[in-house]
Amino acid sequence: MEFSDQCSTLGEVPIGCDVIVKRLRHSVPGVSTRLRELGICENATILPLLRANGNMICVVNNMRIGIDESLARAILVTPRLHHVSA
Amino acid sequence: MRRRGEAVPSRVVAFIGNPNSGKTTLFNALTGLRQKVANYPGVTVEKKEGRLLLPDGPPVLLIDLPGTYSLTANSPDEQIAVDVLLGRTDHTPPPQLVVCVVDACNLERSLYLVSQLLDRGIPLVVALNMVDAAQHAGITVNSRILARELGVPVVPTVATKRGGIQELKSAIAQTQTASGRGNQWRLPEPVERETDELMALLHQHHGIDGADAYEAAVGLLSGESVRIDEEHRYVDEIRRHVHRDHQKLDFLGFDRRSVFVESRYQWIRRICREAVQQRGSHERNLSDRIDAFVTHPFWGMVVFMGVMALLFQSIFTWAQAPMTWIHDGFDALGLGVAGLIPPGDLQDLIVKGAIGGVSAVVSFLPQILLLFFFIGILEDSGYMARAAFIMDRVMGKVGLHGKSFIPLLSSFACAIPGIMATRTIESPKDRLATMLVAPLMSCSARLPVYTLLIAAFIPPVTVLGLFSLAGITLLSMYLLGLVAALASAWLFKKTFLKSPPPVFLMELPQYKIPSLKSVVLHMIERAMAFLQRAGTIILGASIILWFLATYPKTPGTAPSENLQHSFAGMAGRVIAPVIKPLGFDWKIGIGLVSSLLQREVFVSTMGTIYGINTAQGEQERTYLGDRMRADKDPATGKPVFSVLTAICIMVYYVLAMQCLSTVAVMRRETNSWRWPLFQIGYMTALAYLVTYAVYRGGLILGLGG
Repeated sequence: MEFSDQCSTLGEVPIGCDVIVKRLRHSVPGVSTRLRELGICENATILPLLRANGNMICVVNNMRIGIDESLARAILVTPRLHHVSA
Repeated sequence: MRRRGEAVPSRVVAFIGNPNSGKTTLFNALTGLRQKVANYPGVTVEKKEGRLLLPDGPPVLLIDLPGTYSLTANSPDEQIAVDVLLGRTDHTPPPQLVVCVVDACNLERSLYLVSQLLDRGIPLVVALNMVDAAQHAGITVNSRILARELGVPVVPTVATKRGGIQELKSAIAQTQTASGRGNQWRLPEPVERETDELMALLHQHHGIDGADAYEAAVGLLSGESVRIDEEHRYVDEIRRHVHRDHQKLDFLGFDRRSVFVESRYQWIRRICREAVQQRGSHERNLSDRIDAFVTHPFWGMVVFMGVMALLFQSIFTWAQAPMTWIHDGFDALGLGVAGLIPPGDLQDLIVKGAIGGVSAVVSFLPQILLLFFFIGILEDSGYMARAAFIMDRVMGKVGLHGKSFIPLLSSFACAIPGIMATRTIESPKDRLATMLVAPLMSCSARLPVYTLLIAAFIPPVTVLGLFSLAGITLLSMYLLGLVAALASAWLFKKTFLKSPPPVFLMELPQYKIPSLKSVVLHMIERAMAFLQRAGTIILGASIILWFLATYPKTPGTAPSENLQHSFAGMAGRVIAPVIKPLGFDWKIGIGLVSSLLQREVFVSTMGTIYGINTAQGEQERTYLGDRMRADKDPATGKPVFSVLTAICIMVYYVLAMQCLSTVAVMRRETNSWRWPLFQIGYMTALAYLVTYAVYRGGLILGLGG
């Protein structure tokens, strides 16, 4: 699977920029499953709302989710404007 | 339990849905006061049942299952929801119909669970809740299109205003069978082919079929190849087949870990494109503006501390008057009963043993009610999730999840509801660590001990012209407990409770005006659970301790002398050599023994020893302080109590496990005696060692004597 050159981690995305999830790479398998079940799955759109002490609040499918730094680093995303469907 | 004359329910209907979907509010609206709360056998998850009266026909038994995001359980709550739903339990009949409550504002996420329920082929009704909030947010859901796409009845509801209740009752009455449309979402063709083949093998070799076979096949195909070899429950042929499937699907470019979930969401997104109209993309709303403030690194902490201060104020100040009324009420009851029964052992047993014991439990009720009221307000408003978000950083430093702070907070009133509140923590090790340290938070039962000793022994001086030394001492005791709890949690998570660092992943619901009815109902439920659990234990224990403090009787002696020669007095003398290094004598030993029932009993025990009836109020407790200060050891002539002794007693009470009720609840929550006994052991050792260090340090500094 090829990724756009614009790929980064969710933790690096500026607040207010819509991004598309490209891949989940958390080392614990159950965590990635949990993320997917909550709607943070490949090709989902995430909007980071704010960042506080390393934790983030994002909007996914109209749902507000709090995630910590380690999860934000495990979610690879690409900016929505540059997303090209496979 | 069915009341006499009540009709037998014709069907069992389960309520399921994501957390924060309004499921319980809808359940309450349908059942009213016809509810019963108990526990699922063998687990500490609450079982909530109610009867739904339909216009025609017999009533229906509704079961309110714990909220879950999917049928993949991640916590005890979610596991019981799945087990009951799928009929895997002996104690609860499988439901003949499921009502899935979905949040109209979060339809995409909610439909994930609906898709899994459709897979199972269980008759289903979807309650599309909070449609008013959705419309306010610019989201319009066409329930007819949604029903057509899902193949099940969809009933729009507004649970807080009882909107759609009659329509939902009709749908429940009329829906008897599954829609028969089953799996409506499709996997990519190669993936579907491999899944079907694997399911056939699972059926052939292990007798697994239907949705269970599908679930097993998904788990095998999406799992790591190296872990498949560890799946010894499956025959070699299946493991070889799975390895080949992994190679095939990887070669074809499918991400095996995500294709199953992604396929469901593709189907969900297609449905939402048909059924949902949304005004624009996410717009900054009131919840966003509030979050920017309450989660701010500085202002967020200010708000948090303010909320906590208000909570503490309510528990320790506003509850005092009703607690006094309850005490006075039970004192009057005791006097009344004493008037009816001639003086003697029976009167003592009933008045001092039973009534005294019940009074000890019920007197906590105002604090418990206020605690749960405020926690209910914070949860229902949406703030509690933000508090967990803020505290996650602090909790994370000791290896705990942000959610752990809620049980620890509750433990400032009483550790019993605190321990019970840990059931929402997903990781078993995090949950156990939180339960083990919760009693270290200084509960309200310790406060009378602190206030007696601080008033009697801490000089009334002011520090820096602003703060009283008494206030600083009191705060120090609370901080000591908090620090000990966090340090102990850190140690446990580094050693025998080691686990991967918890990840913070939590839905933060929209802020809303809390529903007073829901909060009050919840408050009453929690309080009744507390009374039932603590009351039965404390009543029994108080009778035992009354016996130990009364017998053997020495006729014609004062109560203080009788106490000294009682079994409790003997126990105090037996442990005197053990507690002497802490600066404690046998009188304090009796106090420690009697505190096993409830820590505040230390005050009345000291009162008995020094011939003061502390129940008569503040004035009497002041006299007690005078007597304690004046008491001298006849052998050495030195004061029995000093500033240092008082501090050491308080430190011991901060750290020691002295509450039998908490031990009993711990036993129940962990389903074994191992952890309660470990808890008693480590807290006693901690209390002893720290008190010893404080005493020795105090002597060096010249504080003793």
